[in-house]
Amino acid sequence: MKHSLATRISSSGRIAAAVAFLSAFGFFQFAYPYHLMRREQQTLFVYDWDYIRQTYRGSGWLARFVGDFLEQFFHLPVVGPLIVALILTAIGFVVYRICRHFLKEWPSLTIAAAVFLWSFSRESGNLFITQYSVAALGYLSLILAALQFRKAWLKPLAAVLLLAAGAWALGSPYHKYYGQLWGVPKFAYDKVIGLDTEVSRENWDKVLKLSQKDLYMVEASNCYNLAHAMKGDLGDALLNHSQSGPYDLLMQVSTSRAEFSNCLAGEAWFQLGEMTVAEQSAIIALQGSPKHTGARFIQRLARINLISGEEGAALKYLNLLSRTLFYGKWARSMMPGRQDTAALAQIEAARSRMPRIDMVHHSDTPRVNLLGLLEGDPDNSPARQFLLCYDLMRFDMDDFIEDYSRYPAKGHIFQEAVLLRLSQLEELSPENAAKYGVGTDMINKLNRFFRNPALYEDTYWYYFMDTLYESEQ
Amino acid sequence: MMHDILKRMLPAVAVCLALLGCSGRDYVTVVDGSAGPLVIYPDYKDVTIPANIAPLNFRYAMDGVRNARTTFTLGGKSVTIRGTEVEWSLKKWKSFISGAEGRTITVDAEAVVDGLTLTDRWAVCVSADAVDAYLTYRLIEPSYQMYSEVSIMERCVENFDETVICDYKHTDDACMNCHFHGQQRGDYSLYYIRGPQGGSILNRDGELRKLTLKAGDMLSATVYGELHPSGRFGVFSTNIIIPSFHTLAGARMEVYDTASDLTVADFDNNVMINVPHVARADRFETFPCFSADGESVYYCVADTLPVPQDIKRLRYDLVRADFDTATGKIGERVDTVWSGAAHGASACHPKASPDGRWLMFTSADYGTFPLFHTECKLNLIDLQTGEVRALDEIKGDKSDSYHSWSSNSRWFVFASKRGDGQYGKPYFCHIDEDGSLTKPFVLPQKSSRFYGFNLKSFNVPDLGRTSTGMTVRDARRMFKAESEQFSEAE
Repeated sequence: MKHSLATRISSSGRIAAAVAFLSAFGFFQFAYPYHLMRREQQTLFVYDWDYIRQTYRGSGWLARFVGDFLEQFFHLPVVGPLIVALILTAIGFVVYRICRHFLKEWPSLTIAAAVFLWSFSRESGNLFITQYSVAALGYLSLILAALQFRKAWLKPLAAVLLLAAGAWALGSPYHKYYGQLWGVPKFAYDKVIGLDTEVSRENWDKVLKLSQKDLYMVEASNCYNLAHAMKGDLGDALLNHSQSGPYDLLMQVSTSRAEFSNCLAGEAWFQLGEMTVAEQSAIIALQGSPKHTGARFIQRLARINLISGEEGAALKYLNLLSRTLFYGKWARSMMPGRQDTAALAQIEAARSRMPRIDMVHHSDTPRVNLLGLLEGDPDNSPARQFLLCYDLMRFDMDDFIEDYSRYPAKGHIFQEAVLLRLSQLEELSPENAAKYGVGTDMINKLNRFFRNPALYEDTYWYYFMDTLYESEQ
Repeated sequence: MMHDILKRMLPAVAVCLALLGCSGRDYVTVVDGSAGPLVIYPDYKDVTIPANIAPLNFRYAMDGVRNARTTFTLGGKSVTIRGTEVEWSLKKWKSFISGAEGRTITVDAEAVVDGLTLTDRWAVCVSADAVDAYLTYRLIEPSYQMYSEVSIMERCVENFDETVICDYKHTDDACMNCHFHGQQRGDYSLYYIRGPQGGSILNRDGELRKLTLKAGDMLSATVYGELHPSGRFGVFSTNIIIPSFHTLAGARMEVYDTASDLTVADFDNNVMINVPHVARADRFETFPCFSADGESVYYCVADTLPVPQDIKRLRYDLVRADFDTATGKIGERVDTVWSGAAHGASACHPKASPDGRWLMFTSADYGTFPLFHTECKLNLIDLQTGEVRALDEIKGDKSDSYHSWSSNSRWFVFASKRGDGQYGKPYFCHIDEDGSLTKPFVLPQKSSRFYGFNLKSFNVPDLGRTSTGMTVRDARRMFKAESEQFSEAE
């Protein structure tokens, strides 16, 4: 009778559990929506017994297996928060049940709430992976199981034995990077990984929507610029967002950058058609993922190699993805020889953007790369916009005029830059402006700008003047 | 309670996995499989193997393959394995292959593919020559800009046992470079741990030392090299290595030196013997190795050019110089063994066979680090006749490089990116006394699907007669140990 009382869940316990579940779910679903999606991108769960046997070996195999199995479902918008909320609530619940063996209702609930909050904080850490919550839950469950023994002397013995077995199956519940003892939500980080996630999914409208709040970060500007280039209006939109310099457009892939930046850097290179840099970015991102197996990066590698015509490498990645739950259908449809007309057209379109001339570089001289891309495909619209914007961000007006003459693109900042250059050369006239397709209305705008520059903050004239003024200061 | 939970959860997980396809094997499209009619992977058709090799596990790599039946016949013995995955138990394989040296295994295969019954037959020759039993390699992702979770492994090729010699966990996430044996001896070898606490870990007669192989104005700590038969010296290059990208996608990466010199380490006296004629500013000198008798040094050399701009004009010659075994000095007189300019190609990675008969090296169209050069192939020089030939008969569709000889000079292993072009795998090849080669075969694995799932390159495979006996505990001890400093010889 005493035993059943101790383990019975009171109504206050039920209410506490419901509150805990709903708050955890609400947090990850609405306040921190990209945190778990990012985790899924860095995980791969392959439905193949050989793979499972090969991958989940040694200490902690069960926690890794369950963690990876659950994380694949984070691909879906609601399921991830649901699973994490369940795990966290389960942790609180098991702690409560353990405490009830020794304590009364409210102390037990207080301790359970504290452990729940602690686990919640860990889960919100930006590198944390589910395996470590699973391990924590596993150990707590083993302690609870040991307490089920009726003989008092058997309980500590059972606990020791069960925990020893647990150590083999669950491993350590702590890791210096991925299972830290404490975590703090970083909302700005969640926003920038949101941008990165939507960029990787090529949801350009969503990227622009998320960009409405300027984060004043290089990575956020990079996403904004890429989305506008893909929409074809970067020449109008560039200066409506914070820009810190030319590398907001094309970031270098190198050891000096953080893993996240390296991963994001590859997105723009990929969209422009520079597959080698994009491939290295994906491999570095794969290395940076907790178990070196991120589904997003393997999918990217498959796409890159399909576009590059490296079918052997593409097949390797597609074979892996073909046995996953959420990428399997795509992978099977992209297998060489099985692609439908739409897939072939997509590959062909991307292939047409690739450079035709070989050159050795370090991804730190984007103008050379962009010119190489345009040599191969002068109609590569994102590359045109990036090239001209890159010249303007470096204030290299000679390069700009040279590039604009060969590869003109839409956008008021390009026309403004033309007038600025003509003005610098003291050659500004309607006739000279017309040679570059710039009409008199733009010349009139320039005159109005000189009268009150503050009214024209989105113009290249203002950006140029403001930056020069700042540099003189 | 827990029992109840487990009882409910486990079947649910099992059902999930089963439903989602764990048990199915429908999708088996393969990279670099064998010729038909029945395609197998790895391709072990018509290969020559040493009798001491691990079981040649393979699978039928075709869509819709069912009811496979594979019969191995050797003399009067016959073993049949049913199923699309032909995986032996080690004991059964060893029993089957025992006494097979110099004989041929016949493999008869039958399977139903898309409703049609197909049959196939191939041979596996068992050489009378054994291969060295231990293979060391570095497992690394194919990125040369960053490293993470790198490890150096030792695999017994007679079975599937794999030991970690050094890894990131025991070296505070440090990078490490490849392990190589001296004269294929397990008790004579060297590898590097990089970073502030790193050093060269020399294993001599089984005793480990941590050395700082840098002194004077050397460009860098030592990089590529080989150990002298006497045990006293090592010859090395020092390089400033720069990784870069090609814009053409298939070409991937180019790794080049902006400067490189040669140096010799004297392990008895802790001195670096730097001589100016192999450390010239107007030359790139790299990839040194000793002749089998230790009386010569072979290395690659090219005139310096502005790189990367002129990388495609950069061609290294293969040259030979005397080595003074008393002083450790490389001689000034240099004989060109193979001219890069004459062949319109560039040499790297020379290695002499232990019997002194052969010198094998890699050639590519240009440059010094041809891991992503698809044209990159092995070449063989007969040191008795001076005849040089490209080993086109074993060339894969991607780069073949980083070879290592077995101690009997009858086998060599090399890293090949054939198939996927990204991930190097160790291939073994037999060479007879006339220099005739057999079809290379990849290092067997316990799971026939291993290479499909593996996302790491087998970097610089190197053969050893015996185990190094080194473990990660030794690596940790060496990592924490003080490094012995070397001074420059006068």
